[in-house]
Amino acid sequence: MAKIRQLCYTCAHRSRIDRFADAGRFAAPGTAFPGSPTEKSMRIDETPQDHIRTLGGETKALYVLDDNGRYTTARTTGWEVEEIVLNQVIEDFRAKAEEARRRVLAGETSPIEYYMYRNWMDPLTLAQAMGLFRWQVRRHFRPAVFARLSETRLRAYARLFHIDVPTLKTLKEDP
Amino acid sequence: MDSVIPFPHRQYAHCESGVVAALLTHYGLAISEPLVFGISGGLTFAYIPFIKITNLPIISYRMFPHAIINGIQKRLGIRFRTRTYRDPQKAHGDLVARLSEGRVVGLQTSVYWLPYFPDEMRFQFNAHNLIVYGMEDGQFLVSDPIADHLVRIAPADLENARFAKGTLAPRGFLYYPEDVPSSIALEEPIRKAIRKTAQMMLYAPVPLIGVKGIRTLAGRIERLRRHPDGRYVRNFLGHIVRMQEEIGTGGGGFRFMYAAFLQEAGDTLGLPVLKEASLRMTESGDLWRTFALACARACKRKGDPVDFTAIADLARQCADFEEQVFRMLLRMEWTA
Repeated sequence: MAKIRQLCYTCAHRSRIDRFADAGRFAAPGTAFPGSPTEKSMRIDETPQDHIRTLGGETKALYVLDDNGRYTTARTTGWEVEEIVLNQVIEDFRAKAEEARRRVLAGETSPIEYYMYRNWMDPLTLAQAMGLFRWQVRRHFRPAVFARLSETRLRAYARLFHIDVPTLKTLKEDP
Repeated sequence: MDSVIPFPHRQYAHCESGVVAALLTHYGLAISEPLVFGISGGLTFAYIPFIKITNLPIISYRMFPHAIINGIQKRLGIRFRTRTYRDPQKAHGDLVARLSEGRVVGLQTSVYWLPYFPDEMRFQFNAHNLIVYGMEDGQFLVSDPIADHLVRIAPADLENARFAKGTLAPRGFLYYPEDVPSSIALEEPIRKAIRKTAQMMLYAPVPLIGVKGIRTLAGRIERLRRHPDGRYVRNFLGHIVRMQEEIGTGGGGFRFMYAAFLQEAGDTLGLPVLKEASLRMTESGDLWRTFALACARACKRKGDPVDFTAIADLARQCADFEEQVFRMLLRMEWTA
């Protein structure tokens, strides 16, 4: 039996893990595991307060440790990191919208593509939000097809983009 | 037709656990958000490359929507009355009827249609939860668990939000607990929940879930080095962090909330091992935040060389760390 056990545990990975587990079991509280991070734990006075713009002045709640090592909630005005990654995706959408705008003016695509990016969507999410297939939405990008779209369909798009049908047809919005 | 039910608003870190905790507390069982999150088994890690959102793989630090509502029903044996609708008219009528009966209800909504969200946050995300506690001047009174103040919403906006189409479409999903006891034995639910989460994190059958999932993700990050499209690489790194730090995760990909749960569980059960595990979990959360910082830096600096191995190693460290914590939790003795 012991031999079988031995065989099962020959995998170096497994035994490494078990050593860690034992370390965790017997280590005194507060002492670190091998490879534990050197930075201090999330504490109430270290809660990020970077006043990020993407939160629009709102706050979020976080679980943090107080001075006695007890968990409590704290308000945060945002962490710089969140703003960076959120701005990154927003910039990506803005760039795509700008490019789409150019192509609308050049008669290569329909305003639907522009408004889609303006509202942080891609063809798949737009199709899902409209209850259509992606190929249908892509087809509606063709100016000739767009010109023939029914009033009902146009209204559905406009409603989703929070605009009215004339605006949707003419791209009458600030860049 | 005004009906306002007195309802104390509290800000929570995550929408679904926040709504469930607030509802249970309102209906008579005082319970904290971390307890709800832990007992329902809300924590996980999943990297699912074959389902994409805006062309990027799903990376999740928690179980999918409805897991908390379902998990809490299963573990605590409290039944929630849940309902979806085909007809928005009927959904509206039902909501008004529940409110005039004096019931506070939870709703699933789409962030895209909620006017009180900052514009930059209004993505197509259909699984945001909020509480409606009354009606006044033809507007619904809403307690959004992640907002720090109460809000009002027009019936038309709420209808749009409840009947948004797409992935995880809410279909008017409405829920509230029934027959809530004023106290409940937590020992057994806590033990089962922790064991279940630990099993899943350690022994998932596919290398996309749990610690193996984290390691797979680390491998993917390392492979980005050879990716020709800098824009995609930045998007990918940013995406990981957005999933980890954005609205309703409490930061550190839910790890701090789980640490709070372990601490509270340790108090309830009088087991120091759980407090120890809580400390470790906190450190894991800190490490996730270090990882997020590294990703964000790489994401910000366009053109500069990025040390993908260093970022991947941080993720691997997180995996090792959580492996230790969950092994400790699986091996622990459950009698005080």
